[in-house]
Amino acid sequence: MPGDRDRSLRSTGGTLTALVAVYLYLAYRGAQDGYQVWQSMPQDLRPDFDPAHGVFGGPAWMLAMIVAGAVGAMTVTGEHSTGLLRATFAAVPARRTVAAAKCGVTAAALTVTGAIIAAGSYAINQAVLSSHHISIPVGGAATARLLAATTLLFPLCALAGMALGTVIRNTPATIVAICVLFVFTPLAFKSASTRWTVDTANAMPFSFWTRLTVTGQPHLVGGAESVPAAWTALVAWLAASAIIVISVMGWRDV
Amino acid sequence: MIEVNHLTKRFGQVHAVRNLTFRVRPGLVTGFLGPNGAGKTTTLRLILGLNTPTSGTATVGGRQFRGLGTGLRHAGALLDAGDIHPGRSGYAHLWALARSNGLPRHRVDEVLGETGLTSAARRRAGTYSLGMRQRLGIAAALLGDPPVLLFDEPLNGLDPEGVRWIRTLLRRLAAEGRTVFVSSHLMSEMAQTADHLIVLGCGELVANQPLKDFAARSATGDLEDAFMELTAVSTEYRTGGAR
Repeated sequence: MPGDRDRSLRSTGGTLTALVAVYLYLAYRGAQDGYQVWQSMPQDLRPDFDPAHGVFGGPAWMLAMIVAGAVGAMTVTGEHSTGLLRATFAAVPARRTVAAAKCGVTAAALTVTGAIIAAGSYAINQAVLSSHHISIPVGGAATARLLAATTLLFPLCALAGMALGTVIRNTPATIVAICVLFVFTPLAFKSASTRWTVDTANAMPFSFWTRLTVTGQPHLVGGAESVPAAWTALVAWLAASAIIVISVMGWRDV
Repeated sequence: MIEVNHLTKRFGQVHAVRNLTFRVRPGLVTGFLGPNGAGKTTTLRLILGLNTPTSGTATVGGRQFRGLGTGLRHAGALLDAGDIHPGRSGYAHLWALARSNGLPRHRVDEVLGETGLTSAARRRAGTYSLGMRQRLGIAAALLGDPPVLLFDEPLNGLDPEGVRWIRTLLRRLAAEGRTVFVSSHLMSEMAQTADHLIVLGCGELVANQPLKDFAARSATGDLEDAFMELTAVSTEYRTGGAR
């Protein structure tokens, strides 16, 4: 069963635990950087300060996305390379059921990981900034959006990694594809200026997650998408990834 | 009972198997023979629903295997002894498979005992010898106490004691009324174990008859001679001059 696979292979749990530890530490560092930014701001600009920006945002999160994507990809490519997938499908020939269970277990594990990182990072940021007497608005729609989007970023990346792994079936090539989608495309296409390149960049997870984590009164530049558009892209990625895994695994020869 | 009807599988331009029709009956050990590349493994995969046929059908117990929720209870299969995760113990591998089919934990202990793996069960499967992996694969096949068993080259890597054990096991499973379908290259073993033979050459059925009748095709009455004569024209890979 997919759950047993994760339990009897401790490396997955170890990877996710390390991910939580690293990102809680980065949140502490990010909060201190945020305070430095606030200190260097002219007084009249301080009302525009986004208190979450120091922690939620920036390329450091791309590494977490790659790790989550790789964990998801390995649940598929690992079984392809060892041949375990044949044993699994011979035992449970109802393949769509197996694929859906794999998606469910992976998404659940990464949602828990994402929730711990999101809530922990938020709490650390708040503790650091309030120790410097900077008040952060607690609660509210923007905070809920920030926490939900960060939590969901992890299962999204894992399912996208699974979908790529299901189609490509080879671990190194899948990791390259993950890096192209999660890192290269949002950065390279954002700096180009035509409409379709900006739209493409906005449709990438890093871009719409960044948009959803904005909590202050930022001056958005460079064709940033609307919040509803960002949510739509997030849901579309989750759904498309699961559909690809379940349908392709359902018919392809193994 | 395994029933194969007009089964064809093409990979691009290559016909792996072509228009195969045969039945594998319960209560007998049916040997599945053919030179390398004749399509034996592809046929077993088609029966198990791992590959989708280009045309034709294959059923196990009257039902298409693909789509069943509890495959281990309908058919047990050893396809490739390497189809395991090397980081997992033999016990964890079998317990995961058992749980996927709603089988109780004591079945894992039973098949480990039956295959002689009890003392190695907690070791990582990656440390197993080829012979031990074969035993683990056979343990997995027996897990669901299925009426149909398929073994692809089960003798690979086994020591003489293991070979004798397999021979006894196959005879016993057939005597219990199960359908036992075994591919092998070892003619001497098949001569001792099989009741019936199905022979492929270049993806096509070239013989389907009782072992005794098949062996009688050769003047010497020897199974190996009969096999070599029959497959001489349909062997895809042959070393120079070895006719």
